Amino acid sequence: MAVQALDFPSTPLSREIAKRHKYPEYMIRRFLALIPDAEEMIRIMEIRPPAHIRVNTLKITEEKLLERLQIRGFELEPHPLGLPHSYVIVDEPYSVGASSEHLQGYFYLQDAASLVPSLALAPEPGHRVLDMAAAPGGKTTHISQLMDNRGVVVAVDRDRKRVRALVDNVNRMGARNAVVFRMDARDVASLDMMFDRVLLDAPCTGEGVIPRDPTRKASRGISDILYCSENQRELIDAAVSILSKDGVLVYSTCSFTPEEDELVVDYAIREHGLTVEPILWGDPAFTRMGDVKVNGEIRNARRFYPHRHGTIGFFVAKLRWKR
Amino acid sequence: MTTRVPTRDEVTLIRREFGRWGAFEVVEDAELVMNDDRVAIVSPEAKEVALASGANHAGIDIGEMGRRFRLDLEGAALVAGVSRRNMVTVDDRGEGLALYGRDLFGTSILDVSPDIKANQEVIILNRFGEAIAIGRTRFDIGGLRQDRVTVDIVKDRGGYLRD
Repeated sequence: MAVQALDFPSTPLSREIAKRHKYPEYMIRRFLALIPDAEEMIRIMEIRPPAHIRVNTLKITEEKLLERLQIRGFELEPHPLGLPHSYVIVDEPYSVGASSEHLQGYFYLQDAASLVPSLALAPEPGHRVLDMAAAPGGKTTHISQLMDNRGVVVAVDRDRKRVRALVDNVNRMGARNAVVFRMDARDVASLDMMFDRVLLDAPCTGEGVIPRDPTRKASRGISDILYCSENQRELIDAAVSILSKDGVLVYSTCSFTPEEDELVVDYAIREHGLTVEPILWGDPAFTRMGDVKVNGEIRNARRFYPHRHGTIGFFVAKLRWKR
Repeated sequence: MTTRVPTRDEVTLIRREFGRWGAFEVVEDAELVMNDDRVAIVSPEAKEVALASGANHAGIDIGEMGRRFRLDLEGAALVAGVSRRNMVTVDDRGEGLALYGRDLFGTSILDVSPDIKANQEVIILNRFGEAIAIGRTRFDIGGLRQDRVTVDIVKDRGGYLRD
C-alpha cells in the first residue's frame, strides 16, 4: 500500500512562522500539530548549536582527552542527556575539528542524539553487528568502541565517495573490527550472514539537522518524505531478513516526520511481527498523529528535539522478534 | 577492490619494515589483510568475515605495499607506541605546521633520535610522543636544528581534513 502524507490545517500562525523563518508552510503546520512547544523549537533551530564530541576510548581515556583539550583552551561540559563519553564544546579558541586530537581519532564530532542508536543496540564484544547505512562512520566506529574492537562490525554503504569517508574514519578511529562493503543495503541478504545486532540509521529527509544545516528547511519536500518512507520500509525488509533469532534491530532517522519514523516502525510490527523495547533517553514517540493511530508499543521508541534535549531532531526505535 | 590475505613475500616486507623502525612486535602476531595495495591490521573475526564475503575494506590501514612496504600514519602511530627509532619530536608550533602539511623548521624541533642521517624517512612526533606526520630529513642529526626547513613532510594527519 502506498504511503500517504500526513497533513494538518493551515493557520495564520503557521503561515506567519513559515514566512518569518523561511520554511515551506507544510513543515510548520506539521511541527505545530505534532511537536510539543513547537514554536520554541523553531526559535531554537535558528541558533547554530555548539559542537558535540564522543570520546574514542579505543585510543585515549576520557580524563586524558579532557585535560589535553583544556590545555589547548577548549571548554567542555558533559552533554545534559548524560550519555557515556558525550561532551559539548562550550568554548573553542579555534575549530575543534582542526585540533591534533581530532585528527588522531581521539574523538568524533557527533551530535549526542546520534549516540543513542549504538547505545540502544548494546553490542557485546564477540557479536556480529551490521550497520546498514554506515557512511561516514560515526555509528560504525561507536559500535567498535562499545565492542572494544572485538567481534565484527560489517559496515555497508553504496556510495563510492561516502565509502571513502567511511574508510578514512575507520582508520582514524582505530576500528580494527570494522569490515566495509560497498553495496546497496537492500541487498544485504547476499552477504549470506546472520547478525546479532543490526543498526538501520536510515537515509531520510534530515529535517532534524536543520539547526546545523538550514538549507534543509527547503531542500526537501513532501515527495521526498514519501520516497524516503518507501525506501525505509524496503530497508526494514532487508534488515529483518538477516536478523538472528535473538537479535536486536535499531531503527533511527534524523527526521521529525512520522512517515519516516513511527509509521515505518508500525510497518515493522505489522509486517514482520517485531516488538518495540524501551530506550532510556528521549521523549516517547507518537502513537497518534491527527487521525492516524499506530501500535501503542511505539511509545517505547524515542524522539529527540533541539529545544528539549539540546540535540538535533532524532528518532530511535529498538526492535526485537516477539517471543 | 577486494580484501585478501597478504602473500608470504608481502608479510616478509611488512615485518622487515616494522623491524627497521624497531617495532617488529607490532606485526609479529597481528592479523593482517590486504585492502587492494593497502596493508591493514584487523581483528580475527573481522578478517574471517572479510575474506569469506569479499569485503571492500577491513581493519585499519597501516601502510602501502609497492616494491617495498611503506608506513602510513596509523602504522606510524603503532610504531611510536613501542619505539623511538628514527623519530623527530616537534613543539606545538611545529605540530601546527606539520598538520597543515608544511615542512618543518629546525627551530621547532625539540628532540631527535640518535644516528639520523640526511634523506632519511622519519616519524614526526608531537610533544606528547604521538605520531602526527611522516617526513624526510634534509640534513643529518648535526644539521637538523638550523633555522631553516630541515625536514620535508611526506604525509600528515591533517590530510584527513584537506582531502
